[in-house]
Amino acid sequence: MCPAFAAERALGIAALILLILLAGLSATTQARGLSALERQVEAVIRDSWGDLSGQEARRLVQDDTQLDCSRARNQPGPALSEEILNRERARIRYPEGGLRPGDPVMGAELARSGYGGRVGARRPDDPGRANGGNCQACHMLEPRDDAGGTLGPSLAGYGIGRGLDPESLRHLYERIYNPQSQMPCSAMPRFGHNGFLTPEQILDIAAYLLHPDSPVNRTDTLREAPADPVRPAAPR
Amino acid sequence: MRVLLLPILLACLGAGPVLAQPAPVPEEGADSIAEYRRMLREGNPGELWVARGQQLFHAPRGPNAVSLEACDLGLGAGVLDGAYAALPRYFEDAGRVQDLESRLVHCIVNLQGFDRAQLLQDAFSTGERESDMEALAVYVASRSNGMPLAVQLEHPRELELYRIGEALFHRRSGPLDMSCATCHSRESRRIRLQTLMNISNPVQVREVMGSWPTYRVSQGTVRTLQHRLWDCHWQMRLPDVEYVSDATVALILYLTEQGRGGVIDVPSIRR
Repeated sequence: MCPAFAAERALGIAALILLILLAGLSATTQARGLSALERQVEAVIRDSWGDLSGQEARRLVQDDTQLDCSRARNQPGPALSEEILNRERARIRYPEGGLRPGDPVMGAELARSGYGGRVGARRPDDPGRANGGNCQACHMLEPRDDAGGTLGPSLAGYGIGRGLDPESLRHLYERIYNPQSQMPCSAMPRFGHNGFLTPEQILDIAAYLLHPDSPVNRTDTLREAPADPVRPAAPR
Repeated sequence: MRVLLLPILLACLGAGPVLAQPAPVPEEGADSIAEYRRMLREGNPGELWVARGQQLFHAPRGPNAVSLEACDLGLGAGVLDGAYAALPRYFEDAGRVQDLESRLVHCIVNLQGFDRAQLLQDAFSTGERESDMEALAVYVASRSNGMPLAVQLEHPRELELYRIGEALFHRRSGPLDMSCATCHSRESRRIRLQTLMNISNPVQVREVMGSWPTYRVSQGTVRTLQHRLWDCHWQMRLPDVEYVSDATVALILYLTEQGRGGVIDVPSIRR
């Protein structure tokens, strides 16, 4: 066999192998196949959580958006953002009777309650008790709320300039039901989509945030800056 | 005990408003907290756990009635000084990467003959039962006090587990769509009143990783990194992650490497 021909054929085979490899790679990416590292991670997870009931085990399985956002480290590019927005918008469900403001007093309670949803043998929450929304863990809720977290923006005055009109209500309902329908890879849980809060609970929280008389929107208590921190007393 | 606790509780209540400032100037907040930790150290009840851990470590115990003095924590059998500073690491005899607590479990089971399943179940103190693991862990860690965190990260399995730990840190799952990064990837954020470590701020990671195990005033006991990770997963509404599982060791390895150089100073004291 002519050596030049052999070299050409070897080159052709190498190119073919490369093509097959590349095709395989893009096919698995499209099908959301896992990388070698991701497969190792999943193996470690299976190994580290022992025997779980089906319901508990499902909590460890990522859905498409959780996987996409983990990979993107919550910084999705324009194409992925669009994909997530469309997907998550389509996942919103509305209550049968349409969107009506709920009970703002109940909403205030839900916004503060961090109860619910914890599982496991050591310290499970009572699944018979309603979950709270725990909004306060990440948001300051009211102008004088010094106990709220700062992972999310302050909600003090959220309803000012909005109110209980259908458009504001719908926007906020969708925001709480599925934040990623508005902000792809948002840190905020998809409370409705994940079944953590019911549509009725979401409408209660929405009423609390939007109602003009809610303490959230009491402008007379708004202040420019938080009070100076109290210096701790010396320990005795 | 009660005499010891009262001033500590008062001091911690006093420290509350400092943690409560909405946007603390990081240096100022960190200074006053550090100041408090210094003041509290002399009366830290965690020292009682260190003393109990020392007794437990050196006394003959278990079905085999031997002490843990033959335990190799990475620097040779019985070498405690500095051992914790280089954990987690790969152990040939176990065929896996182990953190402080998984190595202790390995020694307790293999040298003393205790039942592994029981040990894992009793690893965390509850209201009714004090954990031996918490005491042993804080004792061994305290024997690296003053030394910098320095995992070796050379063995292929160590490197592999480090990357797995990093991936786990960013892996979102569960009914709250959370990962560790949800709370721990931004600067000067609080969850309710609790300030949160930022993984990209080495100063904070060093301080945190060098100060566990810690005495938790609210829980009345010393808690370890394994407990901290169980607690995080529980709060993320995920099922109980198993004590000393590979997922916990991977995360601890990742976090310890991010905190490389942090000076070990345990037991610290926390809310």
